[in-house]
Amino acid sequence: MRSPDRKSSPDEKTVSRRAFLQGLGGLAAAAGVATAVLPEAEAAEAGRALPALPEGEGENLLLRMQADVRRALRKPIAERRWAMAIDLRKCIGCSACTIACVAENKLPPGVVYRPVIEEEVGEYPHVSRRFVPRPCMQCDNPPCVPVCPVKATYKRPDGIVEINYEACIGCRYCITACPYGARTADFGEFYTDGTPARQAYETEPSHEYGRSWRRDGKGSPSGNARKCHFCVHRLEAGMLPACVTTCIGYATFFGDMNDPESLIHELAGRRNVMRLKEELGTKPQVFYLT
Amino acid sequence: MLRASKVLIPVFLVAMALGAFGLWDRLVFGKANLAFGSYIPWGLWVGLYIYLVGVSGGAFLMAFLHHGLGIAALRRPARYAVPIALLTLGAGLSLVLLDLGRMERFWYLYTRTSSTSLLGMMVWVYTVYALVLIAMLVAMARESRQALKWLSFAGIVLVVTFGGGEGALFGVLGSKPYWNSGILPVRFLFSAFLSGLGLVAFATVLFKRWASDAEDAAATRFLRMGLLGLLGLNIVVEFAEISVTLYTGIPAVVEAYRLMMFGEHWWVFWIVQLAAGLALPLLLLALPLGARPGWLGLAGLLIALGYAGTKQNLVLPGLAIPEFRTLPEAFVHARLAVTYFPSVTEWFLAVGVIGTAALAFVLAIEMLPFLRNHEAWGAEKREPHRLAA
Repeated sequence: MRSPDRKSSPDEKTVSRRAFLQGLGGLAAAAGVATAVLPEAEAAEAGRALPALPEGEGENLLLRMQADVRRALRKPIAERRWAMAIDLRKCIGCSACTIACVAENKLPPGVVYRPVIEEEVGEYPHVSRRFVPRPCMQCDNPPCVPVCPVKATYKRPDGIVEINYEACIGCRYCITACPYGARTADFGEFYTDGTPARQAYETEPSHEYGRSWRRDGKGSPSGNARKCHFCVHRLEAGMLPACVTTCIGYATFFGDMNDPESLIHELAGRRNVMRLKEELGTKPQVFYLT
Repeated sequence: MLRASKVLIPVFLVAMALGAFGLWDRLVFGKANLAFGSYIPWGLWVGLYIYLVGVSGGAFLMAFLHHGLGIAALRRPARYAVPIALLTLGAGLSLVLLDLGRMERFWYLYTRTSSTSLLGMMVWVYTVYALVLIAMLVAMARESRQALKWLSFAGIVLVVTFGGGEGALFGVLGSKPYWNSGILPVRFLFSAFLSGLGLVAFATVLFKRWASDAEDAAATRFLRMGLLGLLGLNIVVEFAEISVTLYTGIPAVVEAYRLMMFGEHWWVFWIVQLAAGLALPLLLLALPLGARPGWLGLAGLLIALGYAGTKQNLVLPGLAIPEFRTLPEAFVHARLAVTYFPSVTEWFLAVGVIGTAALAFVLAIEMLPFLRNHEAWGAEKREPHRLAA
């Protein structure tokens, strides 16, 4: 079976020998004209210009998923169902997704949304390592939601489990209820605590849940429970979650499970799909390809 | 003033001073100096909260046995039981309030209560229970026996509700195999009764204002047998839980028990929980020695202290087993550790809150007329020459 990334890889576009030579000739001619006609500075500017993006959807995995997201955004929110798939065969444990998430959401010390769990498998001399990125599973039956005493966490119509930072009282009952350890508490700390000055990057606002949250150590989200939200603020701007765009191995996929044309829908139907702790009945919306 | 009060008031004042330091630290530095984190999100305070609220329920049982069921022998212990129930409830709830990440929003518990959350519902039960206790104090001051009777019936329903409900708070969490048990509410209820009765027995002996008479002997006999019976019942329930779950062999549960028995805090299980909370009081109460009020009081104190350890052993091992074996190494930070020992701030504040409750109790029994007056104790009326100082 061909994997979807390979199927849609631009490397595999078939280009005829004639077309290739014609293109090469055209490029050489254009370069010659540019050198002769344009002043030096303008030529340099032209050289820096970004190449045009492929036009068709599906030319590139990220672009295809981005198109999936934008297509989903055209539907009413209740008709979307965001989901994620992670290909464990491709994950190399670089933790780029973890760091991208920390940077995107301006996470303070001790708060992590997407750690990459490393496991050793087998015994010497047959040993291998397995990397399991663990975002919030955005469960369809989330154990964290009913236990919240103040209705500060709830399932959105699009499937994302949201925390209302302004309602959360910080009792941390939801943290104990999550079978994936996906929630962490914000203790109001900063990386530069105990140093002469707090650095600007720590007080930059995050845009979680579409609002601007500037941490000062006192106001929310300090003192609250926090967790991955599939970068819903990016989604609503038509962008993919930070962990997806940052993954160097194209191991994380994202999209709308209600869209049969979407990549995520295609992946979730594979027979090598598994979900973590399914036996608990949580119905996680993060799928793992094994 | 009783001699015990004179000795203990300075001790409690020192405890309050330590607590004031802890409170200052908590209010000024927030949660910076608290030792728990995200993988062990609850620590000493939550363990003490469930313990103290349980003690309150157990103390109330004493009041119910006298005022509700009319057991005359418990008249004197029942008089101390009501303020003890109120103050331990207050201490437990204060600790859990201080534990909140956003303390200033505690009132959301009333205005935004979730009907699906046991914790949310419990807040209302605690509130009504506190009102019942205050009403009982008023009824005691007015010597209104009828009111006391009906209030004690209402109160015991609430006690059973929150006593079991506290166990359910933990028992319903499928995420924690160590907690996820249908017997947990029963364990909580029995341990609450035991620790509450133990503390009231201790206080009754320590703050004795009356002569040793037949009523006194009857109360001692009742408390001794009651505590022995509850200890036996607790052994059965605990044995059932531990043996069945260990036999099942679910790794996370076995690991939690291993941690409890042989981990870093092994002494809490072997010394506090088993030796102090179970073996010694069992011995004291079973031997003829237990018929003497002094030994009964000591046994009560040991039970009360031992069950504080039991509750810590319920909370912490359950949290110390990560959801995935290598999760704590995936992103390393002190707040993402699975080891925990309370910080100085946590200890000081806990000592301070308990010391404040204890001081309030001593002041209440020394200053409130219906707890101090000769008439309140009946027997003193008959033997005025043996009044306490």
